[in-house]
Amino acid sequence: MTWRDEDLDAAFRGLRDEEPPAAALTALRARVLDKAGRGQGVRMLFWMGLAGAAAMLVLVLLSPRRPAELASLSASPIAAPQPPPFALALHRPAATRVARVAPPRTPKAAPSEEFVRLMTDDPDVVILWAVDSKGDLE
Amino acid sequence: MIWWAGKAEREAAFEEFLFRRQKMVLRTAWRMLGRVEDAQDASQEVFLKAYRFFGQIQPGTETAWLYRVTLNVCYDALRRRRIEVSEIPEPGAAPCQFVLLHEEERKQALQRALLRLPERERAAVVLREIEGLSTSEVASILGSTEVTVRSQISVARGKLRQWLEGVKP
Repeated sequence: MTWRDEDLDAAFRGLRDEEPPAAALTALRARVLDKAGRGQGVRMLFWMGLAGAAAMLVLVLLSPRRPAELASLSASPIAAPQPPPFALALHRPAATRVARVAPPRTPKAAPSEEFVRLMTDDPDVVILWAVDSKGDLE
Repeated sequence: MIWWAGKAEREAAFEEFLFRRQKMVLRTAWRMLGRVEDAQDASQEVFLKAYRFFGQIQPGTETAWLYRVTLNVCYDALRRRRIEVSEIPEPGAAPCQFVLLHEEERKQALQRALLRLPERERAAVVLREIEGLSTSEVASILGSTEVTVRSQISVARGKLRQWLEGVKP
């Protein structure tokens, strides 16, 4: 056996004492610091962009409505509900409203009589037009 | 402004950290991978990881952390490339008697023989025999027990001797 334990230990010591080339150390340091700095810059730009976008979003959500927007909202009136057609046709202004009368009793109509019942804007007033068989209004 | 001041301090602290430990990392990677160029690439990767986690590494464990990361990076590098076994002399082809070799030749012969060892055995030998760590420190870094480390080193030394003597293990 030509390689004893002591021989192996001596060879290991030789490897341990052998320093890496100085140029390799310098190059390693330069590469690491360069890449580390660049990566930091890119990450910083990314987070700054994200923060800016978030700030813009918050400003938009919290900003008060502009006056023009409010004016446009108030200018469009809510349409009044349309009354039924015949109520419109029979609409009477308040001054000419008919006096309250007792609820009419539907008369016993003669076989030839027909009544037309008309609703007014006053729920207490109902107009009944009697129509005879000849078509004349009474 | 406080953030910038903190950043400058962090950069300065990392640069000092790099300067104090670069030799250790490069040497370990060199012995694991066999080539200085490969060791530089691996060491760069190690220190970039250290930069990312700088400040999170528990004080007092930086050395062990660096060794562990260096070995893992070297394992990945070895998996990515196949070591040219042809560069290593075949057993029996050129038996080298220790007394006939100059010191430089002995170191080169041993380095070539190291590259034949399996990764885990090589790591144990590099940390214990070249980096000079204790068996318990090596076991802690490798995540194994002292008994396992002693066994690995004993087996590895036997293989190295046989290869260097030109006899198949």
